[in-house]
Amino acid sequence: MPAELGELFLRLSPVIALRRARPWAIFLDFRGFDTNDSGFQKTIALKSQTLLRRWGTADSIARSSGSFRIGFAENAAFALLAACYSQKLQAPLSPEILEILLDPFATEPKNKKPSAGQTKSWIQLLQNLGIHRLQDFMQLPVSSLASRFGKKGLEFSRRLQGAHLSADFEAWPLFIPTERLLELREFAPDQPLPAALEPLLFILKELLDRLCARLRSRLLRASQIQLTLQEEGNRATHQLQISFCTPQGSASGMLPSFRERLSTWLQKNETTESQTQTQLYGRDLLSVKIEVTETAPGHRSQRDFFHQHEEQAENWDSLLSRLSEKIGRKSTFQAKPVKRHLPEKSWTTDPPQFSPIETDPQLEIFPARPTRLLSQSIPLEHLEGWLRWPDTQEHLGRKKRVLRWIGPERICEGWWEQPSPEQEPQRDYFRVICSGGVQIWGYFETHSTQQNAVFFLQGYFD
Amino acid sequence: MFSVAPILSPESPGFMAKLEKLRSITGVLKNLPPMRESLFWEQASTSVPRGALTEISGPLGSGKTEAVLRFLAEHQSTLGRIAWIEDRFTGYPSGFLQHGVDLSRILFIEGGAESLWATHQVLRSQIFGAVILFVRESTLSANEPRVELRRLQLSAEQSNTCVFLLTHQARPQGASWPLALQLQANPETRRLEILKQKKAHPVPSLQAV
Repeated sequence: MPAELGELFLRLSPVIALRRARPWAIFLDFRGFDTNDSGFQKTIALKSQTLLRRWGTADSIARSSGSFRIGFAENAAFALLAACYSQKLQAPLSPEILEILLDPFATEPKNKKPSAGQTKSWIQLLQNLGIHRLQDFMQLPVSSLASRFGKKGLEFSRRLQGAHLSADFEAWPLFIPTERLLELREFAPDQPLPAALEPLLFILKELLDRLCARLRSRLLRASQIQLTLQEEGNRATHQLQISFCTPQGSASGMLPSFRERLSTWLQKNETTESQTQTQLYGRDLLSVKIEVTETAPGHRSQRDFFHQHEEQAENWDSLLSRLSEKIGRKSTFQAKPVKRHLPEKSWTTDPPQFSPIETDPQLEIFPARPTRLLSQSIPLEHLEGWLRWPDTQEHLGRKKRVLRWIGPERICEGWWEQPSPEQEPQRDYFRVICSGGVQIWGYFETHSTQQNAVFFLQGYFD
Repeated sequence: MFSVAPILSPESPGFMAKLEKLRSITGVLKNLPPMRESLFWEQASTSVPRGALTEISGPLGSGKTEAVLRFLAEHQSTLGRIAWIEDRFTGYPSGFLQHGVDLSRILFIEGGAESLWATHQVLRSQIFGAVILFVRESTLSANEPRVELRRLQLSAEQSNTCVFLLTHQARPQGASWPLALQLQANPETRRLEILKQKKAHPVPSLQAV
């Protein structure tokens, strides 16, 4: 059930609820009107048909489910039954009818609904007792229902009895249409807009300015925007979804992201030679539409008179959006130390934040640590005061004489992460001054019993 | 694996001979230069130009990153936010902390092939006081490295940001590279040598401490 249909029927009644499961339904509340009046019913039926036809939905409904029907009743469940089965109390008992009666708006969570097997067995039980229609069930004495059919039977009966009372005991899940924030610019067919980067950005600036002003008044920011371009000629539409890493509240923050995205998109379009993909570059456009598809609460909209904090926050958000758009979300980060001794686990990354992150001041101060840490340790051959780099590591030369060993600093940690205690890392770290003054940092595995053990290079005092 | 040598007293007989022998055993050469702490960055750091490019070159492990970290630690209140850009991040934040750098002020960017582009974006945002870019051979295009550095210099000038370029190899002398200050970290002499210094940004003479 599309939300647009709900919006359509707001013309007839301000109180509307949607059923988004089959059979799809729109419930309209005409409290205060005589709904049994045939003239009223006819008017509503005609208006509904006209609305559906005008919006082109009548045909699509006819295509998908065959037809649409209108039912009038005292409550939602019976109205739906009346629409589905003209004689509501004559309707034969079926799982669908049970479901409609127990949950007319289809809002009950799945885990609370009785399973299909349970419903079938219950209907079977009723049919064995000679109860085939709702009417038959109504004739059962209420006092015997609990002992015969349990809780479900009582609830079912309560709903059926409720149909005879004029008051509707069901709270309606009101349909409130979501607010759409969109800006559209249309061009006359004789003065279309060329599909090129700069003209598009020129138009987008104006549209984004308007959109941001509307967002700001609602204390919102856009986190996703959909751009729709309508082509002249075949009137094909092209859609582009632009997500911002951090929600944006100004056109100046959004435009660079649009520029990045559009330039790559238009380039792709320009170079495509596939027949199936329409080439947009160089064609003319009839309309440009932007719509906010996702929002987030905004910062304080009032700029501070004494400092530029607000402006800087905007620039920061805008920068992160651009960076994440081009090089990926995880490529920008802030580092945070962690209380671990193993070098590769002694820090972690945090998503960038405009306000400074608080770090733990109680973190231990280790002996001197290098400024560069390799993602993977490089095994160096250690031979009588010499360190030999593997052939692939040519940056420091093949062989370096060791001038001074500073250390060791033993690090044993992480036994709880290893499958067996033998695999716990036990390392003796050394700061090594090599010939030429270059200072490196690495370790010997303490498990190793060889005389000339392998020295694992892990960092540089760069 | 390692034996601890008995403590030698300079007054003991044959002290120099024993010391030489010990040095030959441990592989320590004569006239070993002092440790990295003697890098006299403190003098140079006061004159690092804002709104211009400063290049610090030197092989891996020569101390150029430490020099920049010291500068950042000393000037963090005036610099504000810092962007640290590398194509593949190899920094060790725990090591940065030991130099007194406030990690919460640093935005790390792993730019890959787009490191230079990311640097331009950072400079355009005008919210960073210093930008550190690790320049590898692939960072600048092989055909027009001078043009690209010139663009970077203009961006730095516009945003009034200190831009440090960390490289393994210094740019060759004589050519008109748009660098206001060109320093080289020499691991053997433990000195930051000035290769180039524009008159607009005078740096006091750097002497060994």
